[in-house]
Amino acid sequence: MRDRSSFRGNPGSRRNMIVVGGLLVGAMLLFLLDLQGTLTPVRAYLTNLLTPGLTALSSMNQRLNDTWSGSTDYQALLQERDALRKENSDLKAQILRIPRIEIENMRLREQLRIEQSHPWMLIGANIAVQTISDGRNVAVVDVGSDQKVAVGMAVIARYTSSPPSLIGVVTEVNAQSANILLISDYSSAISVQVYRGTEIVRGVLQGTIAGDGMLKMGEIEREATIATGDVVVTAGLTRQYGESLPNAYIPADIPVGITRNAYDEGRSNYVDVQPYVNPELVRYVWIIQNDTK
Amino acid sequence: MDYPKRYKIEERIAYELRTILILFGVVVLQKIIVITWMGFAINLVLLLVVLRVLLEPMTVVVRWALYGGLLLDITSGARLGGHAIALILAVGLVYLLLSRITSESWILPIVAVLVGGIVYHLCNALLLVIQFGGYDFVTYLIAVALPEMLVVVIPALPVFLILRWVRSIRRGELPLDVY
Repeated sequence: MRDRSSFRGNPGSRRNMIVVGGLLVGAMLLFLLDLQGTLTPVRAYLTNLLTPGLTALSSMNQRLNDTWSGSTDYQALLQERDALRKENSDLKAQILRIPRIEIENMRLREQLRIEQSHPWMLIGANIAVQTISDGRNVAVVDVGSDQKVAVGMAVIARYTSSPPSLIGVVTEVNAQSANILLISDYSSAISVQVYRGTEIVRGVLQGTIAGDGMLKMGEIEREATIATGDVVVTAGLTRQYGESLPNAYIPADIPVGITRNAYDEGRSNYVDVQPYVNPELVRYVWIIQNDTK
Repeated sequence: MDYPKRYKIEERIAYELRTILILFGVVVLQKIIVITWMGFAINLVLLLVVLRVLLEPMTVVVRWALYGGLLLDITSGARLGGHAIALILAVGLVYLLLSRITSESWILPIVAVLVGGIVYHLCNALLLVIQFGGYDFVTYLIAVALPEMLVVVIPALPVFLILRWVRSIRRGELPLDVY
């Protein structure tokens, strides 16, 4: 059963190299054209085409996963024969059976709570696909320009008991979908500030390639002091320089995280920031459409 | 299907569409299902194309690399062609280095995935620099490339054996190594 069909020395070898070279040049051409923006409408159309299906698959998969986790818990509890825990598991199983409409209702109520306590108008969105590999941290959501989403809008989320916190910024918008650059991506840079008594310490918050969940706050004034545990919020500085700038939609004072470790690199000060919400764990987000409600 | 005989155009189109559909399934598995159930990402498209090039004709697999790469780009919101370039280069180098070795060697898939992974991540790192500027390459190596390569090496042998078994069945061969 020796396989000699793909040996390099076979007569098809030169043809193989021509095909590889041709497709490689084709892929490079696509990349360059997309980099220039020529192919952006094509990509937008294709992303729009796939997003509804991917969103449905993603939520179905999540439900299956939740059910499976619930059932394994239940089996483990049966073995322990702990009556109290069994009751707890039954309650969990009941929660898992909550119809979709009730989940939506719950999300809308949460959105309303956030809107009541902040001057924000929100648009809810499901995360269709999240890419946390190849050094990137990006996501695609199932709302787009049809829902009045625009590039540069801030994306917030909640996880367990965290406050509604910034997890990313909209970078591309299609009719029915939008791409989000998560704050943990190394190419993400957002102006932030820390309130310390009467003093405001400003800086730029960047993601890192390390993927350890920590963010890096730089561009801090040399004399400024930041202590561990200080709250980092967005500064909304871009808007002050011009309404048309890319991140001008990001309002000030969206919670981002807590400062951890301050250190120097050369002549610059840096602070590690632990975000309130790990973007990887989020499945539902809100996009801040307007903050002058 | 390396078109050894002349196929009608509609047969070719149907074959390419079927390939794209299969790869879409693999991309969904990679980006939605595996990450939810196992908690980490495995680059299944890379694994599949690098292992297939050890068994199937190059011209077929390189098209799989192109389609798989484009589907990854579309579902990641990445620039079109980025993943495809990395995958085609990975497939090409694995073919150049390892196609002379018989597919019966069990170490072959592991070496192939390592070689493919190195090329893929080098290319990915370069494309990231082109798009977003420089970063600490050592951190990329330690935090991104090495873990992702190790994760993809684990299923290399079983997946390779399954692919080889499927090929044997398709060719009507006895699915046993006879010496």
